[in-house]
Amino acid sequence: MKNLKLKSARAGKDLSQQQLAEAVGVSRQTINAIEKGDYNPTIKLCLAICKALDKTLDELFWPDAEG
Amino acid sequence: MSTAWTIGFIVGILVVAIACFATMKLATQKGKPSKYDERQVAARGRAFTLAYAALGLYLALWMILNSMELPFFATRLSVLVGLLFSVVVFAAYSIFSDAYFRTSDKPAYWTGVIGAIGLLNTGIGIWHAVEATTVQERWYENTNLPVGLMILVVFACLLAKRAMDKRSEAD
Repeated sequence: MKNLKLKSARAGKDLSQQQLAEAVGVSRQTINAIEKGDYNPTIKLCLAICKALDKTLDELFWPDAEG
Repeated sequence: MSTAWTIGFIVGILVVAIACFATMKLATQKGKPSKYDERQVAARGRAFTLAYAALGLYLALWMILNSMELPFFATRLSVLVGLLFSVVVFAAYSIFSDAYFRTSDKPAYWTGVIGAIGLLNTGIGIWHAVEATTVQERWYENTNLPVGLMILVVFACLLAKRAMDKRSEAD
């Protein structure tokens, strides 16, 4: 399932996938895979992404009720 | 072993060590952590599993063909080919899963180095094959050719991945 909330939050911070990847210490392809729904990150990576984007876990990674 | 051979061997080791050190310095980006991230580690784990299975299948096939007393499968090189095949499986899966290079590596630089080494080994292998006087001994014991071809297959995978990435970026 695509993570549109993450993509939107990243765009809101005006960060490219590469910039977000460097901020959290992973490859750009990993950020791309998370946004496309091809990879489920560990809680450690989720927390690092939340910290980089100033969001909570619920705001970025909790599925919507409809989903 | 003569003194000249020993000196040449030691100098050769030193040259390779210096070349490896220089390559590692040139081929990594400063300030970036030199590691595989968690997704890449998981993908490389799956690649290793696939490679192990591929090697097992090849060795099972090798035992059958060896028992049929086919000339090639009576040689040590035929076992090496199985190892090389499993390396290609590992590399190809890693490459197409974006798990071949670490976050600090310069992919273009390493791709060039891999291509050059592949061409060098393949060239040496072809030269040995052309120079061979006995097919049984030289052809079948020439390790440069299969190693070079294996590296060129990995090189081809790297080029194909680069082309795919460029096409997806354009889209």
